Amino acid sequence: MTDKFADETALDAAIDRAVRDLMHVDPPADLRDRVLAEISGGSTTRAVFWPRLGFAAVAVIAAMAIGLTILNRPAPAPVTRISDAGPSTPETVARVPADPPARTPGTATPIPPDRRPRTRGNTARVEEPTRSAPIEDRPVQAASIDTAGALGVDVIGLEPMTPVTRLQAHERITVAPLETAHFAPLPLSLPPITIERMENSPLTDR
Amino acid sequence: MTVTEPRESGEAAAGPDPDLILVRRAQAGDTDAFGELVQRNRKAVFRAAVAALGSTTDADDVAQEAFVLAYRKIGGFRGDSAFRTWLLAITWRKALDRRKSVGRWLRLTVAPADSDTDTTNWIEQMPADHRSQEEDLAAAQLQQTVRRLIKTLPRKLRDALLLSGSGDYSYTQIGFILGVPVGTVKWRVSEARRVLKEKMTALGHAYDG
Repeated sequence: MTDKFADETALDAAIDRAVRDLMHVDPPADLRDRVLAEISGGSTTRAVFWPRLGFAAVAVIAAMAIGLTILNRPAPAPVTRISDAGPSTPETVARVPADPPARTPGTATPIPPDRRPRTRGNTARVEEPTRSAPIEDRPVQAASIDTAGALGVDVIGLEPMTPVTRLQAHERITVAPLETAHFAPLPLSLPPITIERMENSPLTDR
Repeated sequence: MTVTEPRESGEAAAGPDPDLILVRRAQAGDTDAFGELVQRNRKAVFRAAVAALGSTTDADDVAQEAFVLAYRKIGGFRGDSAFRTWLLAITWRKALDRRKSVGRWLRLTVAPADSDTDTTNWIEQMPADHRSQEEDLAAAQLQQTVRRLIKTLPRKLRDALLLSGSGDYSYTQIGFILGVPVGTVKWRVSEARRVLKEKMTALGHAYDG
């Protein structure tokens, strides 16, 4: 019994010593300095706020200057209207005969069918893409290009590869005004009914 | 679980919170006063983190984070409890977050904390005894066994045992930190010791004085 008690006391002492030794560790000496440095880091951040704001303002001004320079540069040369179908508006679509004009050999590269521009009938209208102005809207010029049979014009380069013949306007189609015909039903006439006596032979017994 | 914590600070008996004046100054924006609070409580905070994490490196990080968080929240400290107790509660929550972090788990998986080569581990920071070689060997073996067994304890028992064994915290403070009543703290400490002794006896350790 005494041995057991002594052993238990000894084990308690061993546990106490182990726990005490485990827990008696001191923090690094610079813990306070690191904490205060991190705390004051917020004010440091605020101190560099104004230089950062100034740099941002300069960057914004530079960006605006570049934008104004781009906007004020000379306008590009007007797009040559290849298709001249008279006083047509951009919405005008001229129709031309299905047969393409004769091509000059060796002056044009054939465009594969899958790369040809989409056409309505055998014409297509190419418009200059609308650019969005960074400051204010400004009108942009739209071009209506009649490819006149897409084989003849390099749409991407806008370079005519074959001379385009002048289009011939169709004559105006006139339609006579409709006339309303008068329909009158004919009078209905029925012949008079006559009743005649029908003669039957007398029945005979067999 | 809510634990009512009387005004008590560390080893000191119940009375006015010695940190309260510094707290009021820190609440007014005096960082020097908060620096003094750090200096006064750094050991308690650091050791609580060590008890939770078992690594002085992790405990150092957690202690710093806890102090910074306390500074940011000190405006909301109303003095319902002692400042140290409030600070230790913050530290414990931070330590538990770190204990649950995936990064720490991976690090311990790659290099287990009880590895003999881990110089940052608390086991390696044990002071050496200066006795005869034979006594040193026996004592070292026993202490090594006790430490290893402490680490195998369930966390609830281990936390209570280490916090109480440090001598830096009262049972009331430990209960406030762990969020359990004082009676539960005492039971956990007692149960931890019982389990340890049982395991040591099973291993054949009989302390010869």
